Amino acid sequence: MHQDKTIHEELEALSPFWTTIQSQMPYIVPANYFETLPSIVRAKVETEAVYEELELIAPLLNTIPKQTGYQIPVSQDKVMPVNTPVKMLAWPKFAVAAALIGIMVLANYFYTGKKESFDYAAYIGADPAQIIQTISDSTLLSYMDVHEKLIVTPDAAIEEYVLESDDALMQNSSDQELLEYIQSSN
Amino acid sequence: MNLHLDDTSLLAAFHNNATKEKGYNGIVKKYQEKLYWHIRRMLVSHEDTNDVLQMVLVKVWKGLESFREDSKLYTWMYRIATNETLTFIEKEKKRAIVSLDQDSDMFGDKVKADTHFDENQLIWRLQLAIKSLPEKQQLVFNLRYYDEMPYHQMSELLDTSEGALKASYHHAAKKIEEFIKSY
Repeated sequence: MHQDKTIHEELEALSPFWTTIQSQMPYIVPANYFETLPSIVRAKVETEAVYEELELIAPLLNTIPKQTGYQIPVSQDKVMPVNTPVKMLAWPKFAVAAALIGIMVLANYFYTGKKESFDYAAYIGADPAQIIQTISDSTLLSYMDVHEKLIVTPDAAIEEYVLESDDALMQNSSDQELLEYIQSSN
Repeated sequence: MNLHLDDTSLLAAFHNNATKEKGYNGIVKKYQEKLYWHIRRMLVSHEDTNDVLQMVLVKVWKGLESFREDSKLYTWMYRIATNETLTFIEKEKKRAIVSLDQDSDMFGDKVKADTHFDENQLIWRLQLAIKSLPEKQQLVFNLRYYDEMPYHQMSELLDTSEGALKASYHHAAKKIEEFIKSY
C-alpha cells in the first residue's frame, strides 16, 4: 500500500488489478552496505582528487600502474619464521664487538701512553742556553729548516730588502769590489 | 551528524571547512538508500548499482561546492543519479551490440538471474514487466509508483511537462498490467 493515497487511487482508477500488487521491492541488499558506503565513497573521492591533481601536473604518471615493481621472494614468508632466532643470536655479536673495542682501547693506552710520557718537571726552571748546548748543531739546523717561520724574534726580524739604484751602488762600492763584480759578470 | 537535519543545515555544514566532512556524510546518509533503490530498479544488479551509486556520490561531492539552491538538493541528486544510470544503460547496450548479443532481454535476464527470483510471485513478475518498458517510461513509473514522487517534482527532475509525465505513467501502468496478465 502506498503512503500517498493519491497514487493508490490513481492506479485503482486505471484498473482494479493494481489493488492486488504490493509496491515492495524483491531485491536484497548486502548486510551493512549502507553503513560502510559513506566511508567507501570518501576514500574514492580522495583517490579521484589525487588522480585529477596528477592529471594537471604530470598526466603521464597516471598511465603508469601504481606498483613499486619490487618483489618479495616467494619463499620469504616461509623462510622468515625459521630465521626469527636472529634476535637470540644478536647479543653474542654485540658482546664480541664490545670486547674487541675494549682490547683496542687498552692496547692504544699502553702503547701510546709510554711513548708520550715526558718528564716536564725536569725542565722547569732549567736554563735554555744550557739545554741548547746539549743538542747537536745538525739537529738544531734541521729543526730550524722545518720551523723557520716560527723563529722570529725582534733581533732577528728580517728587514724588507730594498734594491739600491746603480749610482748608489757604484758610490758605495770600492774599486776592488767593482773590479771583482765585472770579472764575475764576464 | 543527525540524519533528520534539513538540507539547508546539511549544506551549511558542508560549506564550512570545519564541518565539511560531517555535512557530506549527513547528506550521503540521508539520501543514499533512496538513490540506491532509484538506481537498482533500473539496473537490477547490486554490483552495477553499487558502481553507479559510488560515481553519483563522488559527483555530488564535487558538485556540492558549486551547488546553487535553485533546485532542491534531493531533486539535484536524483538528476545526477538518473543521468549516470541512463549513461550506464547506454554503455551496456553498446557492449551487447559489440558482443552480438543485442537480441537478448539484457535487464529481464538480470531479473531472472537474481538468486531470489521466483516467477510465481507477483512482485517478481512486476519487475519483469517493468523491465519490458522503454527506459524513460521505467523511470517515470518507478518514480511515481515506488518513490511516490509528485508530478511537479518529477517534471523538474526529468525536464518534462506534468501532462506528458501523467500520460507516460498511465501508459506504463496499462502495459505492465497486460504483461502480467499474459505471463
